[in-house]
Amino acid sequence: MSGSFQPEAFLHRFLAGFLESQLVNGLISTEHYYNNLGLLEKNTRLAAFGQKLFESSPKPVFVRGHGRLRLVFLREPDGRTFPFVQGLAKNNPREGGGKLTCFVGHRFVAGIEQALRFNLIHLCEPHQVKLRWSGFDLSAKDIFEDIVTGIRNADLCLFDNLGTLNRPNVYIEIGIAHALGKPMLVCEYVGKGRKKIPDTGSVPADLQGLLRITYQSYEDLSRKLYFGLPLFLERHGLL
Amino acid sequence: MSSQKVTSHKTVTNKTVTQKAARPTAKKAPAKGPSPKKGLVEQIAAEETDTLKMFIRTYALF
Repeated sequence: MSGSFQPEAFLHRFLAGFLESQLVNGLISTEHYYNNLGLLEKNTRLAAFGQKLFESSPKPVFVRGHGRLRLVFLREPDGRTFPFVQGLAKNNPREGGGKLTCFVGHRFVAGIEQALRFNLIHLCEPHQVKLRWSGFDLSAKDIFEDIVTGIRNADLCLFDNLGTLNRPNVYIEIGIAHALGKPMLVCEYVGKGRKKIPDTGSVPADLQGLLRITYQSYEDLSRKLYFGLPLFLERHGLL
Repeated sequence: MSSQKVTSHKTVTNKTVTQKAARPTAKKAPAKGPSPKKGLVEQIAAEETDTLKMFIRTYALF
């Protein structure tokens, strides 16, 4: 774990971030935002609920009449962990069919691979999104074809450019997904600590019209992805 | 003859215009509840006044 956490302060920051994402995504008005933010400050149940989440982790906490939440610890590429609140879906199948498939492209470095995959499984689970990982080496012809097939058969795609300077694989995959018209989330690392991961490129300007998520850490990325995913899926008719 | 025809035509035209104008007013219904065009995510965000419950409804009810 990267440090100690005050359950109430953590839960407050987490929910305030969620509320802000609702505002920024145009789902609530500024009046609704400030009203809810005020109520969040005054919510006396938050301390006990936050405490219960941490004490029960990773077991879920049930909120009567609403559903189950649990606190999990997700990962940064350097091995540190951070707390995250995960909603647990009911077992009901998705309306209109089974699971969605998301093709995931990223740099194959142990730290990135382990952390990103671990995190994404938690973030996508409430939406019954099955993850399909990119191949390892684009130089092999059959693997390239496998990637094209994987993207073609996916309902959506997610790409992370962390550590991809002079490693064009992810950008080639972004181009394939773009050509095939796939809904796509492009995650761009813009952290100040690029020195720690020096070979990270940037998303080309002509791709920035796609849904681009800039992030400074995997904690930042996890929240932005999680809070933005429901609306992204809904807008593409995938919810 | 010619004058009568013109008068008759004008009358018919006026009736038609009056009927067309009346239709939209008659079909109007009072707007109640969320718009059917609103998606699930937007409905949850608009209706819920407790952030924690809004969060749970967004992620734990699918």
